[in-house]
Amino acid sequence: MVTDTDQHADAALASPSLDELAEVARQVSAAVQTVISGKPEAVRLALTVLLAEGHILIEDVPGVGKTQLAKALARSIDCSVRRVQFTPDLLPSDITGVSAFNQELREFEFKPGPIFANIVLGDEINRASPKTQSALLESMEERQVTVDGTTYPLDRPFMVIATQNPVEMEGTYPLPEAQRDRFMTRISIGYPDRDSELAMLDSHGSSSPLDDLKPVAHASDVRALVLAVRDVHVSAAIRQYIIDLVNATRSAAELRLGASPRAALHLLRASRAYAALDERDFVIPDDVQSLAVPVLAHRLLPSAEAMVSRDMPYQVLSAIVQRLPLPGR
Amino acid sequence: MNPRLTTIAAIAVCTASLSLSALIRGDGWLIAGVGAIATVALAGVATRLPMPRGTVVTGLVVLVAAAPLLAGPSWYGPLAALALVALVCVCTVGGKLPRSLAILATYLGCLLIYLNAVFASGASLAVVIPTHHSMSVLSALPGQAFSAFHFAPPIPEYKGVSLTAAAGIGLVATAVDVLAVRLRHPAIAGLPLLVLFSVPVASNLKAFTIGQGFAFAVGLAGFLMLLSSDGRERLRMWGRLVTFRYLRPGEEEVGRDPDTREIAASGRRIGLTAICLAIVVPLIVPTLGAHDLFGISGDGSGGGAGGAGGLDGILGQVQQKLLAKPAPVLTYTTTAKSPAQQYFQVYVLNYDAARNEWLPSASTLRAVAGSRLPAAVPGLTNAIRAATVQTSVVTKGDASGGAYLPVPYAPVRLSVTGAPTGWLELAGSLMLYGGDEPNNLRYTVTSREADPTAAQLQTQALVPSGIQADYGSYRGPDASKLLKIARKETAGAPTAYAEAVDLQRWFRSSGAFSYTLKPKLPDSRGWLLDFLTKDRRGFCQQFAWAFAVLARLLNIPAQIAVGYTAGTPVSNGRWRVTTADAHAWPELYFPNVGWVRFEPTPGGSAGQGTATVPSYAVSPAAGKSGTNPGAPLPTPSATAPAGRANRAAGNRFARLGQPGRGNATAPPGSGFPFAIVLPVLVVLLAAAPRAVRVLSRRKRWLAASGDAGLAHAAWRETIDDLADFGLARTPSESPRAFVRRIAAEEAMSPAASQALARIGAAEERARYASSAPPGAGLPRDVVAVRRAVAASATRSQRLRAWLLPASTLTAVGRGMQRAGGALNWLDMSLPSAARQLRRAVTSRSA
Repeated sequence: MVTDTDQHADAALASPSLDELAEVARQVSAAVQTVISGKPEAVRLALTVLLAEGHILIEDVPGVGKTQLAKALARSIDCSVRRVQFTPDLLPSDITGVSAFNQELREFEFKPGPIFANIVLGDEINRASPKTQSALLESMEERQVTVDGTTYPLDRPFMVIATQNPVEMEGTYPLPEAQRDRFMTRISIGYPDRDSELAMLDSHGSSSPLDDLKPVAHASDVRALVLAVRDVHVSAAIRQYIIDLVNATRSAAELRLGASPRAALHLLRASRAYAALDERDFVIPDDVQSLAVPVLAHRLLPSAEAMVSRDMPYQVLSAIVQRLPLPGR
Repeated sequence: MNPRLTTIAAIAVCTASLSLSALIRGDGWLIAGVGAIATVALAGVATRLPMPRGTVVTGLVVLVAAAPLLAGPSWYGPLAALALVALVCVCTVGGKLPRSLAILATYLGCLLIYLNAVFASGASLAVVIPTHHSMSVLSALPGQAFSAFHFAPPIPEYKGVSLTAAAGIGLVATAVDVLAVRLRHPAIAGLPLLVLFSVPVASNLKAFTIGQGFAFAVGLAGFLMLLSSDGRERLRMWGRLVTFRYLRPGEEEVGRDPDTREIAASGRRIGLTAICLAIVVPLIVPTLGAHDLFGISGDGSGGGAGGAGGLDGILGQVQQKLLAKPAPVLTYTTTAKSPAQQYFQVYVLNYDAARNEWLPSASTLRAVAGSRLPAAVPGLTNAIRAATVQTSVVTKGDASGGAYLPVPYAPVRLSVTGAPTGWLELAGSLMLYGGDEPNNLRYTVTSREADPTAAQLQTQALVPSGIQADYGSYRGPDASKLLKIARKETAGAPTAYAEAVDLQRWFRSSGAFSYTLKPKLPDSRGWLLDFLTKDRRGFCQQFAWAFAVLARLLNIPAQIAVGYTAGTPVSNGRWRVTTADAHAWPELYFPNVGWVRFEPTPGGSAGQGTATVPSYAVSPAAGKSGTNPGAPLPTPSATAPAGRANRAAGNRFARLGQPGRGNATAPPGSGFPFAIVLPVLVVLLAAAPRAVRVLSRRKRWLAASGDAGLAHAAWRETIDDLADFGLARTPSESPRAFVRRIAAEEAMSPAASQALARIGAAEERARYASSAPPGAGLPRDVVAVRRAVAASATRSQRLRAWLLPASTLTAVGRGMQRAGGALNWLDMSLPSAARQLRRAVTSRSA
């Protein structure tokens, strides 16, 4: 019997705010889907990460709508959006901002970089030098930027949507494991199905629906929603399940690198948001199972044998999820 | 070549051979056996030699082994030998089948040369090369061994015994070498090793001693060594399995093996299941009663032990002899007054309740020094008139049962022409053991032939307690029913002697029983009752058995002697005994007289032709007489009418409160009512799963309290119900996923689907939310779901769900799994201990 309560669950579960959240989420989702049709799960994952205060890595071939998704999400929420096109010559200060000497005031003045926005779109992140990559990733984790000894906190909500192209890898700097670990989820959008692609030709043929997209929620709404998500109840059984899952990746023979404790934390937070999007004030194993691959797969490294037998980490992870018994009966 | 595996295989056979030490005295056989193993190992190496050398060695071995043929007197012997050698040499370069024949020839040839060198070197050429003579010496030895096997173990270490043991060990070593080293199937090599272990178990060995346990453990260790060595060899051949894996800090890379925990756990589960089955199945199947697990001492209390028993034993040999074409056994002259009554005993058997069999009793062997036999005639006192009879015997062909001398009871002196020494006598039964096959032996036996009077047989003296304990009780099957028969047939008999005579008269009375050499008796424990009540057809085997058992039930000590009747006179006072005179007869013990024989088997043309009733038991009236106690009872006419006064006076020793008598009326362990118990057991077993299911359901609902409790109970009940109908939930399936799947798979009514969804939602909230929903309606929902699933199931599915609910069986499986998992610590502790040991060794050597 489950009697445990999460530390956030003692407050009266704000059902109205959950309803509200779901309503807002529906609106945002509908708005985004006018741009990205036929990919509700990718949109839902993006929303989940937004509400769980994480960052997304979208890894896919060119032209499937990575940037469109990021832009649509940013547009449908009335918040600041900045886009950074990562190139090999991009410097860290091009992201964080620089202190410039103001001749009139005769003092140094901080010129904030593109990172100072609610949603930052980092396009082709693997094309930047590791130094620049790490500058971005540091601010992602800390949610603040320090320049010349002064710390500038970033606005909330803050989400980085980074894209990466797995095909053209020449001249790129693939993200090392430590930095991939900072992204809450990695998703790939994939090609649309036949009908969706037909619909896309119709709607995108003359003008971009992105231009017609009107904000349906405000940044302050998102901040409230993030707070509401924190109150979603996570029972002891679910926490145990998450730990079991993470441990299973560490002991699986097919993997030589398992999921980190940060991964467990991300999975927990994402599960909360996922449950909230479902208008539930508690997390169920289905949430964790649905999120296991997007949240964990990009952090795992296959063993040599698995590479030879072409067992990709997401396949191994799916097998683990299917095999791992739920705690209790 | 594979010296390491060859050596380990040889060691495994050596250690397994130790288990024979419980059977054979001394250690010469073991040394011979070890030599045989070494020879076989060398033969194995020879068979694995590369082509030209291998062919030469094989040819040489076969040439030496076939030497007796080469040196034979006939012209075709050498020719056949050379042809054989050539054939084997050709075979070594042939295909699979010819090559395996050549390999087999090499093994057997080496073994033969070795055995010849060890056991018949004197008759061999240059010690090792077999000759005609050495072969005949060698072939005569096993017969000696087989006759020694009738002893209770441990048997004395005769040359024949050593030869048989060494040859057996050598054959086992051959099988092990072929399987483990050549074919690389060391696990299967356990089967021939098991043969060595099973010999002591299958033999007449009664007690399981610590020494035997130790021998078994050592043998097992040898086998395990073989298995592990083979595993190592395989790794060496293929290299080591390499896994890439991030090591935790402080973890050594050296000695890190692939993760085999899952495989080990499966192995443990299989092992546990096998052990459980091995223990449980013989316990519940009554016919597989040969387990000596809990009743090794064999006091007969073990319920299902024994089958039809010794019908195949020594008693069975009598039937074979009687059915075979008559062959001469011996001729003799005797000084006995009535030679026709002088039987020749070979074996004396005592009843073994545990096996329901008559077996030679284990007694001490005494060496015969000089002509006087060492053992005293049991029970016979000087008060009894006993004639001293001298019998001169010449044995012919297959005399008696091998190495035992047929002698008239009770032998006191023995002189054997040509072989005055080397004889052994078994104290108690006075069986005489010769070691060598008594073919064409000439010997003279002096025996004391007791000639008791009726009064002497009707004495009130006590039977010695040892005799009474060993021979005076029957703990076999159907004891109480048999006792009733014995009482009925001996009603009115005043004394033990009278009872015996009455029994004998009953068996021999015309119409009661008939004689046939091929009786149709059920091959079961209860055959004796069938014989006495229904079938009533048999020969000396059945009659002697029945008589001895009934006598024992009447508290008269009884044994069965096996040997020959007096045979038929030929000429000049010479008598001849053939295999047609083979016979078994009961002997009863009377105080002061000792063992006296009775004859329940019908004689004459409609029975055992030469069987005679002894003079003291001949009259039907004799038993009830006693008015003429002083006179011997030589003929029927000498007996007087019955005197019932004796009975009134209580003139019998049986019911006088003598210790050890009169209390064996209801022997334990007899007549276990399998006919009733088995069906009841079967019904109980069949009903058990259903009963467990119903009980668990009731308990579950009773134990449920509160909304969360109700939700859990409803969920588990539904899971079990669905599992009963073959819709099992996987352990990783959440309530929501399971409900979704079932709703999609099963064509349920909307109401039932909603009920199932409610149960799933309630469980989900009870498990994962901070509060559970009200659970009042859940029991109804559970019933609705169960009915809906049952309605959509086939008839056989419904029946199976009712009779054999899968949920109950999975619980059993889970329990087994948990029990197997309890040994998980082995996985953790053994490798770490090994690692520590290795570290300690390396640090010391550094």
